Amino acid sequence: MSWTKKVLRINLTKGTCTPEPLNMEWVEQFLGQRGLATKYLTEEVPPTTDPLSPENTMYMITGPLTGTMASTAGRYSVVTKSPLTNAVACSNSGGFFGNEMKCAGWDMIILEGKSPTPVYISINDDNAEILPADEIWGKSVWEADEWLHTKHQDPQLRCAVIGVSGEKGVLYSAIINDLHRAAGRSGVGTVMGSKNVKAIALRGSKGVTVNDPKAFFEATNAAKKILAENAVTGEGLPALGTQVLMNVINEMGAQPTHNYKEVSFAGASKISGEAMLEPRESDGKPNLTRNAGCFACTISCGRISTIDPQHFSVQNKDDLHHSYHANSGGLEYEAAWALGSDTGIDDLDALTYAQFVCNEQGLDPITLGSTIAAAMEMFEMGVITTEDTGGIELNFGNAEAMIKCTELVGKGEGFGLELGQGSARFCAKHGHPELSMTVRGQEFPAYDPRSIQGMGLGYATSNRGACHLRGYTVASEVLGIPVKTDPLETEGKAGLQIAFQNATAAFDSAGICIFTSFAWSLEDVAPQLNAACEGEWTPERLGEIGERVWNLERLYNEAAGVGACADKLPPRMTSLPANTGPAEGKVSGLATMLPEYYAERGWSPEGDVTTETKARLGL
Amino acid sequence: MSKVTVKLFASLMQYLPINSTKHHGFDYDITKNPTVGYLIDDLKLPRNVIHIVLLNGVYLDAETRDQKVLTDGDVLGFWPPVAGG
Amino acid sequence: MQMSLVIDANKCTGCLQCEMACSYEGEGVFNPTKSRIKIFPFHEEGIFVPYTCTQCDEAWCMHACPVEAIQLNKATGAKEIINDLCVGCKVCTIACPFGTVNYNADSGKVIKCDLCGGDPECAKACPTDAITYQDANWTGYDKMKDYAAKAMPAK
Repeated sequence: MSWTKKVLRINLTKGTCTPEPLNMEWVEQFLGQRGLATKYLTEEVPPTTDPLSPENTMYMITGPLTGTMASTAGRYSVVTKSPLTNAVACSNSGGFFGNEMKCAGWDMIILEGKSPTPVYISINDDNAEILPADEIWGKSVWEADEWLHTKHQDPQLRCAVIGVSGEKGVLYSAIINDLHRAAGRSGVGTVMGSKNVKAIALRGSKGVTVNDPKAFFEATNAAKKILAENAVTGEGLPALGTQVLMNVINEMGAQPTHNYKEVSFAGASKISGEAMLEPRESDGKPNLTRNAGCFACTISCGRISTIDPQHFSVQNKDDLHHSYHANSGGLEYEAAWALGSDTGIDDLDALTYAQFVCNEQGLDPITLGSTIAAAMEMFEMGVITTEDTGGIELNFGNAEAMIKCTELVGKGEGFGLELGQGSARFCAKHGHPELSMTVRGQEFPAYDPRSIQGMGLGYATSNRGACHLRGYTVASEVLGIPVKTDPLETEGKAGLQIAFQNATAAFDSAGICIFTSFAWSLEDVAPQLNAACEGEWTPERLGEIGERVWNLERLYNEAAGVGACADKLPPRMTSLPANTGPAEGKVSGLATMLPEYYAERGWSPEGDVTTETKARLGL
Repeated sequence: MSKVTVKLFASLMQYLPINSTKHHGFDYDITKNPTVGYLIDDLKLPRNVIHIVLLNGVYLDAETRDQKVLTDGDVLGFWPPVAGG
Repeated sequence: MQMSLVIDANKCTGCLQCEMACSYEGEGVFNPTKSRIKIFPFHEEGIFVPYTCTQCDEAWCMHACPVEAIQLNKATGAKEIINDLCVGCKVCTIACPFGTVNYNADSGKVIKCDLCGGDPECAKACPTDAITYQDANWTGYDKMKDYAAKAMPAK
């Protein structure tokens, strides 16, 4: 139980929807969600496959806890080969789509091949159909979502949709479910668009059961109590969301600013979580209306926000764009730093508007903001001019320019399509590859590796390209969770990253949100899984699964040509010292940490997974 | 007279003095006892809530922070336990 | 003491823990489509509203039932469906002005909130106290207290 043990395989070339049993042998080794879908990918898609060809396959998958009453158990992941990085992609989303998939009786939906014409997938329990999407191709996520609800006359339909950016080949398009929850990174929406699939519309009425209900309620109630009593998950995240970090990271001098030239931003407090609570002049309302929860989430960090009706971004929006005058999914820290401090923009409403556009058109705001920031730096250097930008004065701090770029990327038009290739390709094209703040072609998140050393190692070794959600040592280095370590110190960071990376891979394979890990360890997850699932799931076994998943991803990347050779940071991180704050004069100590990391991973000094390690993990 | 800037964030904002410039903090005059511990008590900040204390951006260990001596121009930031990502 | 479900929409985050608790109690499965309580998200207004049966004294559903399959539980005040008697005619679903009695096609019977026999699972599952179970004579107590606090003279 808990797994439905059923997979829906959709071949878009042939136009077929075929049920098949879930491979339960692989479940034993990889649990579910991130781990299990990665196993399918590595078995079915050769590592050298062109990510945007019909030979690439996309896996939408739940975890064993998805759809149950365990806290945060509504997650699903999208696994595929990334067009941005050429590496394995795995993007995780909340909302209400994952649980609905499980309720309809499916652990996983596989999209393979390519449809000759635009289509969407309609799933109602056992019935799956491939239907024409001509009427919504070219429409935004929000328009398509509304059309699907009307078409199926079902207000409880759950939809995962791509925006126009995903149709046009922007390389960091997201899949958006429930209007504003995103499988955001690495261009998973681009892959869906390349298959000519606009949306997946789900309805499930079967429900989910667990193996041992009594033990399940005991375990999940105990775990919920931990979340409620923890100051981070019970108080900080509901009140201020992820944006609570803006002031902390800025004050400690780790706030990436002006394309990572600087480590603090003078306008940070104006775009912080605290600022979102302050009433504005025009209508007396704060930016934040309230917090909201994804399915089953007892933390509820989601932001529901409005834009100042007097703000230039929305004051002339007509009725067709009424959503911009209403509440919608608000600003998260990763969007706020990338579109804000990295571009030198301290206009909270401009950033909220850009976040709305990212949701409406399905964009990863991290890669978007970083790419705009890199373009701004090149504009100020004179490397690109208004001739390249289509007339946009692309200076740091220009909110109108940032908004214009965001809209253009969202629609995949003109200069937007060029920015839509991501900073690695954009900077290389204009002769300055060193200005792209990426690893494996994916942009850094919100923490400067010179000021938080463990994160530099994390970015360099992250299997999906630079990312904070693969090994969030910020928790330890800045926030003291579970124990405080010195952010400027490199010693011990290899072991710390590995511990975080392995545990995260286990959380990501279970069907729950990684934010629970601020309060839970695998000791708290194991009893919940053990009660929900058949078999015995101990913390040790989960830790081993996490390590196995990490190594499997690494092996795939090695074979795809983005293994050890891509474990590096841009020169700015290793040769340009931080200019202010506690890290002043420091560069990333990656060269020191990486050999330790390889050794502690049980890899060769060159960074390859060794035969012994493979054998130990059963790979 | 020596002055330090005190910044209070997240749920600690409720302890800001009236008329302070919110996130930019407020000035605090060091009088007889220039330690962080004295400042915390003088401002009646809740010790059970304070988790992260940054002095000019540098984290102060919970065990030793009370004895830390402040000097003119220091910036002191306080947070409850917070995390995100 | 008779008790009532008290709903405070301002506290609801839309997480659906209540819907799962309800469907599990009623049907033995985590399945929001089988819940007697529903959360209605109003996206543009930014609010989530829990809604379920208020257990009317002169319950339209109970009076409309032609086979007396809806009966008062004197201990809890709930109007309960007697499954052995229900013929699935759905007249009660028409009679209820609030839409809180619904047909379950899988069982061929109607379903509605029965207060779980006096220990409602939705209220226990709610992480934010948006749904509570309180003295039926004092469902306004918290709201009164909130306003009293606002009216309290400043210290």
